[in-house]
Amino acid sequence: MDENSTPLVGVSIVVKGTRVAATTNEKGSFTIHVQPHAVLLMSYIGYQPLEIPVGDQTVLNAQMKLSSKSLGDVVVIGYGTQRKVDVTGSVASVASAVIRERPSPNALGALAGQVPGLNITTNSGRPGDYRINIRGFNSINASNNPLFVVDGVIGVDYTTINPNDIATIDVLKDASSTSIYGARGSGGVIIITTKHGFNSRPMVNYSFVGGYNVLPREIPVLNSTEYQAIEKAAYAFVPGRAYPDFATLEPELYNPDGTPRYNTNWQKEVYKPTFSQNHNLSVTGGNDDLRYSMNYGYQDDEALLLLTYNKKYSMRINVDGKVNNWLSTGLNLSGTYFQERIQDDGVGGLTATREVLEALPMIPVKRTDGTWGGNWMHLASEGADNPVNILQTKYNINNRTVVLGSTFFNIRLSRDLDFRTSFSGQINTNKNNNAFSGSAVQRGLYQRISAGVNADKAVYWQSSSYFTYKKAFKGDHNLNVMLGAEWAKNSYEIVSASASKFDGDFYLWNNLGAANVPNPPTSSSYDWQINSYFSRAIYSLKDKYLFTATGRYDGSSKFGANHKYAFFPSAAFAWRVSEEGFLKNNRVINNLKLRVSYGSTGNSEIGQYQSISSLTSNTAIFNNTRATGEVQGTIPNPDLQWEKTNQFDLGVDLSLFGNRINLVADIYDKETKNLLLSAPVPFTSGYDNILKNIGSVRNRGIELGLMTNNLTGPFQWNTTINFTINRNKILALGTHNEDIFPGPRFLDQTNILRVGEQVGTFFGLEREGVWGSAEGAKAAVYNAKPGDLKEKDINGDGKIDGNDRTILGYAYPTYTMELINKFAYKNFDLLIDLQVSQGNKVLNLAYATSEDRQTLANSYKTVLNAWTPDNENTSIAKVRLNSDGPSLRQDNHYLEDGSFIRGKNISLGYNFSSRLVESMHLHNLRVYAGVQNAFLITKYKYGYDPEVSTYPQAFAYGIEFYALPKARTFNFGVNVGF
Amino acid sequence: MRRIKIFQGILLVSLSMNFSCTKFLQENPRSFYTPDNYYTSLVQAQNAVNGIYAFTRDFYASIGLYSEDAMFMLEMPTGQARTEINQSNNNANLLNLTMTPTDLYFTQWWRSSYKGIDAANLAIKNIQLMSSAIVPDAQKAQLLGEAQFLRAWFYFNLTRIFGDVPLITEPTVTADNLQVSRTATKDIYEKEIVPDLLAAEKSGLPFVDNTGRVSIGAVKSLLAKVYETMAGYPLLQTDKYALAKQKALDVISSNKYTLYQNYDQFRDPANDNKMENIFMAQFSSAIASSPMFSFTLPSFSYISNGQGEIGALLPDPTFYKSYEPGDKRTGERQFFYSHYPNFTTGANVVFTNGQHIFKYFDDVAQQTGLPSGKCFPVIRLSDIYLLYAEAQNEADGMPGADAYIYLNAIRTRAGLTPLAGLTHDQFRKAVWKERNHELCFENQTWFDMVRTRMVYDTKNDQFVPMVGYSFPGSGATKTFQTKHLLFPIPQSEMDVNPKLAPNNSGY
Repeated sequence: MDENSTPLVGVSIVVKGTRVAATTNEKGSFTIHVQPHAVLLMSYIGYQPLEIPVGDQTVLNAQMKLSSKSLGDVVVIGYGTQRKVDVTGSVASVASAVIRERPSPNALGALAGQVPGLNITTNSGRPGDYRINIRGFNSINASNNPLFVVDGVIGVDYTTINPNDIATIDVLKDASSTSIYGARGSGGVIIITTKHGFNSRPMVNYSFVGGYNVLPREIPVLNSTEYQAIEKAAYAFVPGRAYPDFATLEPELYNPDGTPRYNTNWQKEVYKPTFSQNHNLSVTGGNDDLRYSMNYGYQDDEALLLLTYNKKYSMRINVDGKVNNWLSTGLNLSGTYFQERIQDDGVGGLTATREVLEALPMIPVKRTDGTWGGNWMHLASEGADNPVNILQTKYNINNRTVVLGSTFFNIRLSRDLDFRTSFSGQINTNKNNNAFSGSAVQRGLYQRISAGVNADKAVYWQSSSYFTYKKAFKGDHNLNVMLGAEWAKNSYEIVSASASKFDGDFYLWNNLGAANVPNPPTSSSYDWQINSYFSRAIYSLKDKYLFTATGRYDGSSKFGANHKYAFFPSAAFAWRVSEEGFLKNNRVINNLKLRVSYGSTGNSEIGQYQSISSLTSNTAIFNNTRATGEVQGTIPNPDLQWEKTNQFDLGVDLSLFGNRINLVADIYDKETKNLLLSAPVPFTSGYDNILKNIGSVRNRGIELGLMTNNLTGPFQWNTTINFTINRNKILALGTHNEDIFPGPRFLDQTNILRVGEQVGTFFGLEREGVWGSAEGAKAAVYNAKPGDLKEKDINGDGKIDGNDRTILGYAYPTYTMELINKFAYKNFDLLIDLQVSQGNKVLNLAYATSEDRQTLANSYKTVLNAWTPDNENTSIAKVRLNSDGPSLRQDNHYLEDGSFIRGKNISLGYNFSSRLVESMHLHNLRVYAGVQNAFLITKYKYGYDPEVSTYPQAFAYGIEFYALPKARTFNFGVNVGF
Repeated sequence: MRRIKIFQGILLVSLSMNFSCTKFLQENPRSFYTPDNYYTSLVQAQNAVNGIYAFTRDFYASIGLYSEDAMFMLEMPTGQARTEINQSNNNANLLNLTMTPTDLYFTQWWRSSYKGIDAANLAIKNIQLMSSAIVPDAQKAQLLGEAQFLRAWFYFNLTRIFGDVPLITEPTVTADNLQVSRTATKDIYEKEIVPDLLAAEKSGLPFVDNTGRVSIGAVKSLLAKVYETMAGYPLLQTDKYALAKQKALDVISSNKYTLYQNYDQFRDPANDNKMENIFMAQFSSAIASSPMFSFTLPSFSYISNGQGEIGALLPDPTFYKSYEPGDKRTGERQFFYSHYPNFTTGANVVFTNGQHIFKYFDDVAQQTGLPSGKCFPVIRLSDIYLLYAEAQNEADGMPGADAYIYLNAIRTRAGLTPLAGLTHDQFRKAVWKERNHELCFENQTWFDMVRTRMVYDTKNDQFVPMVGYSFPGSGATKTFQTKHLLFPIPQSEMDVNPKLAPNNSGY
């Protein structure tokens, strides 16, 4: 049985030194014939293996201990499996029990913080919106995402996997483990293995998690009275300029005495509590010849923003069959249907998440006649619709269907030689429906009503075959050689249509032909193909000295004619020091392994057709009619090739006091060369840039994973600390190592790529404050007046321009840490999960629009501290109308310290005792309740959450512009098996 | 045995997935052409030329984040413009004469001009290679004529704005040798602009084209402007005045273009490519709209049906007051306006900042709320009339009878008394003043200023040297220096091509 005294099904029991074996049945019982003085070895995925001498016993009870950090049996390493103790690379395994502890829209949310070096952060409060990277960012233009392999299918979209389907996740971090994936491995590899059936009678399991989501905190913005005071001050910026008589001009909004009628708290109107739920039902069972696992799931994740959801219906069936003693086969088939409604897209425009903070407080949500209120009701404001109006009239819905299937045949050619061939496919289709009307219908602005549809389809197939040869030679030599080949192809097509100026909002996207202004439809398609040959040899001597060598020869259609193929090798050595005589029965150290590896991987995740020359079409107009034009497109680069990453890893696995204290530590050094960069070319060529392999980036870091079983008696307490430090440095850039400004560009460039600095470096002016009344002469030098912003003239040349910009801070943290404490007493268990991030800065671009545009839109409460002759010690310029002169600068005022400590998950569970459970004819019953995002300690004030990124590129990390806030979620869950 | 047979079977199956290595990895794009499979029919030759026209929109279209438009680069620094919104550093720097090479508009003019030039080079080279069975000679000549006019126009803008610029007449096919050095202004005119236009003059294109394509009238008009500019700074080839006069007369005496009778006809989209219009940058409401209406509407004035009302460009009050008393163009809703009814309530809205530009007011867009599709006037007949008057006065040393006819046609339309009996210098200045008042905010004023190096001192109603002139009311904080005769080459271009160094002096 397991740590909760629940029977464990499918435990593998072997009589040590023989091939006599058995497995436990659904009651956790087994029968085995042994000789006297035999020793039984028991092993089960996710649990620590047991060695039990039988002695004279005929009946034996054994309890297995959970091993979430897998000193457990086996890890999946890509085209094979390996005993954890034999692994020479840096591989971390996460068991499904750990994933189930953390309710999340997809598997990534549950993985966050579980593996040092695996950095998973959320970009915003949109469900499932994650940014993921292993050991730092290697690439600027190619994707940095790790490669996902699901049951052998390479490149699957992880969002399509139901977290409840997962049995284990193996994270491959160093070259020795990832090189076998060659040209797609430099971002690291995450291998997901889904649940398969056991030799047992059918077992049914149902789990439910419900979540109640609330907004953790509001951002302080002006209320109506404060807004009016600021507005009066802004009009008074020009002496003698009269404040408009709003009581007469806008009687709907103002009382006769001039005070505002309404005081709307838009954050309360828009961010209302929501309810998420997740149901899962699984049926598994089988016998020696046929095993099955069926899984059904329904998930509905709601964000805080009205009308934002992510629903998933999923189904999976995994079948494993033994045809005869040399042929086995299997099928993994899953289908998933998503429905997602997004409301936080359209960054830069007057979106709902922006209007929540910028809508004027004296505007009502609805006017007395029932129509929508909006900023346009007030003189000189920016004319935006109110956010509730936007949310109710804006649609951006994705309906996605994913079918993933793979089948394999495993042929035992001889005792030592196996051949496995598999064929997999994935079909991923999406229909996107969008429409927007805002208050257009109400205001008669029918040309503003727009709608559109997009439909795309991706078909991926993959054919893999490999031989595995395993032999133990006399003298404690063990050899494992694998040799294989692979072909894969992805075909993608998309078609889009849109139209505007409908006569109302009835049709939405369901009748584009009824619009008055149709836009020309567009379509396109592309393919890419990969062909590879790979091999791995593992040699171990005396079970103590382990050598691994891998090599992969990859060819991709994306690369230039001169470099279609490339070779990626690796080598590793590990020494199981604890098997040596001097440590064999040491009472303190029960496991010590030293590992070192070096190798290379590649990154092929760029777009297609980048190496060839192309034309492109544009549109000319003659007589109000469209005419096609055909002009230059891209310059060819026949030398375009892979980004290549060479990585060195040194690691130690240490366990003390009988696994009471376990430490996994790695130190690594990765250098990525041939970085794919858009090298700017002179505009005189008629082009903007050409994709070239010209940069190089280095990542160095330390990963520490510490697991301690502090108390092991009736009251149990164990702790896990995962600690990650990564230092990223750009070594070479551009043809002359010149700076690159990759964007986004806001008032000016926001960040810089510079040799010697890291990716994600903020760049801009430094704000010294505001010119004081006594500084009129000095201010005039800079074309400014007292009350205007004072920027630092870094080069002292008497003007504030691009040369005064400097490096302001870094987006990536100095270190991150996850502190997990688990307590168990009798039937109760308590989990406390803390997330720490230190040293990261956040560039909140919303300051520019929500602080410096008085009278155009609402502002942060910070403007109450704006400069006046009586309040000179401030960084906020004197309030004014927008037409009075510039007061916006891309400077460090918008940069805040984003360090935080988050109470990520606090969860209390109760397992009903086996007697009670059996009397209900059940197998197990567990209930739990908890809080996710329970608390947040941070200095970041004018954004909802410092773990935020509005733009997807690696170099734009930590830049926010009105992101959707993350919720605090109160969970309640039930797990029942029978 | 059976095992081996089945194994062989499966091996064959998986080996059969073996595609021939190199063919499997070949790329066969289906959504775009490559230069190898294009230029094979008359339609494709036409499309290659059509593509060049698309770049003409780039200088008058909305760019950047803050209501910015490359045409502002030629308006903001004249001392005659203002803005109502202050979110753009690019606009502010031009208004204050503090522009730097990193500002946005220089990149837009440089980059879009060279894109158009490469598209023209590509079309010219490939069309010439096409056989006359596919493209008959007469049509080939016309297509080449269109491409040559556009290429000349791009280079004309480049050299007037940046001075010496690289001269490239071959399309770019590889990434080698892209760093080119600057060619002297004189050579650009004599080796590229004038020869291209002279060739286009013989291309057999129709004299007028009402669809927006290049016409002989456009070619001759551009030639007239080119010769007029060569006669001025920096080349000072004063013999070119006679040629300018001749080309302008060709256009006027063809009688294929008609002067507007009133200023509403200037604004009317029904007159696009007709009446006075000789060459326009083409826009269309549903395809690619023009932002000029939106940018010149007073900021958040609510006088239109939901248009963006930006107030990005409006006249400086001193400029407005520089018109002669009784000049119709300063009347309400002629070239300018100072109030308009609120679209919803009808109440009269008096603009906070006084006079705004009415030239780009689009009546249809104002009512419907649809984006404005008004084409932008690059060359119109009034320009050629005044150009003739100026050229004839310079070429012959004193104004002749027809010079007065054409100058006075513009004046009488504005309700001003016709001029007579002026000296050579008085006539020249009268023409300059008329050009400034008639062609204001049409991207003409700046080019007139740099080719004459004189500026209209609006406060004192006289012409003074451009260098040293301070904007009225600026307290000498905004004064033209010698460096302002040219704009800086974009910094990003200097960074990527060291052969262009040094940048124009002063930047």
